[in-house]
Amino acid sequence: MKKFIKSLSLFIASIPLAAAKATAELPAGQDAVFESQLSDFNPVQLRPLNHGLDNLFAGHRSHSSHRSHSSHASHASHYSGSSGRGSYSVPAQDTTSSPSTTSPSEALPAAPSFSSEQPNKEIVSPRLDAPKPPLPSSQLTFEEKRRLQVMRVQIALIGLGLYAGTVDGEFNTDTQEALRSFQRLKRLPSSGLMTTDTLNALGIMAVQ
Amino acid sequence: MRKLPVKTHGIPLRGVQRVISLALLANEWESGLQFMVLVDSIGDAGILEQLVDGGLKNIVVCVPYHLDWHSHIMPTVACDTRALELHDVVVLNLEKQELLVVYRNSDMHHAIQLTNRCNSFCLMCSQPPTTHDDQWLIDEALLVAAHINDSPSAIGLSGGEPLLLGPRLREVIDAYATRLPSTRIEILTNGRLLADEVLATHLLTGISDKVSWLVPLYGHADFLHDFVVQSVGAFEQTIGGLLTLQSYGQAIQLRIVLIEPTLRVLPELCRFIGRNLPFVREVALMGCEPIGFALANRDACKTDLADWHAELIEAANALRRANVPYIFMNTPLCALPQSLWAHAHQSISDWKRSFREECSICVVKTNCSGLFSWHNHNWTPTVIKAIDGKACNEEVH
Ligand code: SF4
Repeated sequence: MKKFIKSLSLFIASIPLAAAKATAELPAGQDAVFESQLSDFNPVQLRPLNHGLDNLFAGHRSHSSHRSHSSHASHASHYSGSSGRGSYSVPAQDTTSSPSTTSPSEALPAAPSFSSEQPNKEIVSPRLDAPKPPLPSSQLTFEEKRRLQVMRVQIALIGLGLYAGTVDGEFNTDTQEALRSFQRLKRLPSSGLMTTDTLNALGIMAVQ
Repeated sequence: MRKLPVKTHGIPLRGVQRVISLALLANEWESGLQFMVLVDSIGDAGILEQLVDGGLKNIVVCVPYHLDWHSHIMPTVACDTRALELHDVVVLNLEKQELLVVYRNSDMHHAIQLTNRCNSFCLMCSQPPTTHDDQWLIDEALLVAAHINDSPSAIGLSGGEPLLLGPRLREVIDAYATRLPSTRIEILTNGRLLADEVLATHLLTGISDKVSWLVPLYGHADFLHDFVVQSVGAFEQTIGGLLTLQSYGQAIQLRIVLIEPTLRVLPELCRFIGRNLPFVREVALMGCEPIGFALANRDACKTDLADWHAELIEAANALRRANVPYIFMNTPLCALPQSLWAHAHQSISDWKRSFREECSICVVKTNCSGLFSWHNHNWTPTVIKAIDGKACNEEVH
C-alpha cells in the first residue's frame, strides 16, 4: 500500500480498502495516565513590594569592595549596540500566507535526517553571530545583581529629576546624594542607602 | 499576527523589543533586553534622552504620530501607540516599516513561530511552507522568550515544522521552560522526525514536564494520511513518532482537521485511535481554516459540516467508548449536532475571531467559537444560522 495518490476522486475510490487495514498492526497501547494540567494554580498574594529579606543590598555603602569583574563586562556586551548583527539579514517575513495556486504535490522536499551518520550541517550548525538572549536575573552573580539594582535605582532617580549622572551601576556619591534627597522627600531616614523602605517608596522590586 | 505600520528613525537593524512605560522602566530594565518605551509627551521623551545620555543603550522611544518628533540621540518609532499594550513583545521589520506584535499578555492564545519550513505539504495548510534558511527565526524565538514579562498558562511553539530545528528545538523549549516556569509549552508538530532515534533522544531526555505535543493524524492507513499531508511515508513516521513520545511519557493531543478526506474515514480513524493510540491525552477535531493551501484545494477542504453529522457522532462515540477525551475546535455551534456542543471549545485566537450578523440573535453565542475572520460568505463551516431559545432548551440548563 505504498502507492501515492494525488487526486481526491482516486483517493475516495480507495477508501474501502482501508477498512480491512483498520485493525491495527500496532501493539495495543499501554495505559498512560497524564497528569491533569488543570492543577496549575497561581495564587495571587497581597504583600508589600519587598520584604527586608528580599533586599540583598540594603547595607551597601559603596561598591569599592566589589569591583566589577570580567564576566559582567562580557555579559553587558552581548547586546550592546548592533554588534553581532552584521549578517543578520533582514528577512522579508511574509505572514500573510498568500494562497498558492501551484499543486501542493509538486516539489516535495526530502525529509532531513538527524541520525549521527548523516548530520545535516545546514540545519543544525549554530550561528556564531546571533545575538544571545540574556540570562534570567536569578542566574546573575551577586555582583551583577548589585549593579543591576543600582542601575534601576539610578533610572528611577533620573525619572524623578533627582539625579543627572550616569546610569552605570556604580553606587557613587551622586547616587547616594540623590537617594538622600528622595528619602527626605518621603520622610524616610536619610541614609543614602538602598533600604527596603526606600526601594518600596521608589516602586522598585529588589533584584534577586 | 498583529501588524502595525510604523515610521522608524535611527534604528539600524530588525530586533525584538519589550513595550514598556517610562514608569515601569526602572523596575524592569536589564542590560540584555531591548525596551521600546512608550511616551506621549516631549517632557517624558526628554527624561528618556537623559537616561540614554547617562549610558543606557538598549532603549527605543515610541511616540504617537501626533507628537511629530524624533530623537537625535536614540532610535525612535512613531506609530499609533493606542494599538500597543504594555509588555507586548514586538519585532520591528524595517524594510516594510512594520511592527509585528509577536506576543501579547492579554491574548487568550499565544504562539511563537519557529520556522517557515516544513517536510509535509498538507492539503489545507494554513501557512504554506517556504524552503529558504530561516534560522534567524530560532534566534528571534529565544529573544522573544527573554522579553516576555509574564508566565501565561500556555504557549504554542509552531511552524512550519518545529522538528526541522533539529537539536536546537530543545534549546528553544528549554529557554521557554526556564523563562516561563508556570507555562505549558505546546509543540505543534507532525511528529515525523521523532521517528529518528538520535534526534528523539536528544530532544526528549530530561525534557520539562510542562511540554505537550500537538500532532495531526488524518487517516488510519498510510495512503489516507499520506494523501492529506501530500508526503509519502509520513504516516509511518508519524505513528513512529507518536510511539516514541509515548515511550518518553509525553502528553499528546492528536489533531484531526475536518476536511472531506478525513471526514470520509473519521469513524474508522477514531476507532483506530481508540484501539492503537489510547494513550493520547485527547483528540482535537478541528474546523478547517480557509486560508493558505485550503483555498487552492477547495474541493477537498470546503465542506458543510451539517452534511457530516452522522460521521461526527459516530466518531465521538468511538472515542468515548475507548475513554479517549475529545474536543471540537474552530467549529461554530451551529455547525455541530447539539449532542456534541458540550465538547466544543472557543478555540479561535482573539485576533482571528469574528461573528456574523446572524450571530447577534443567537442564544448560544457566548459559548460559540465564532468564525475565522477570513471566512467569507462563500465558505463557512456550514450555513450559519442563529440558534433560538426553543431549539436548545434541553442542552442549556
Ligand atoms: S449563529 Fe453564530 S454564534 Fe450562533 S452558533 Fe452559529 S456561528 Fe455561533
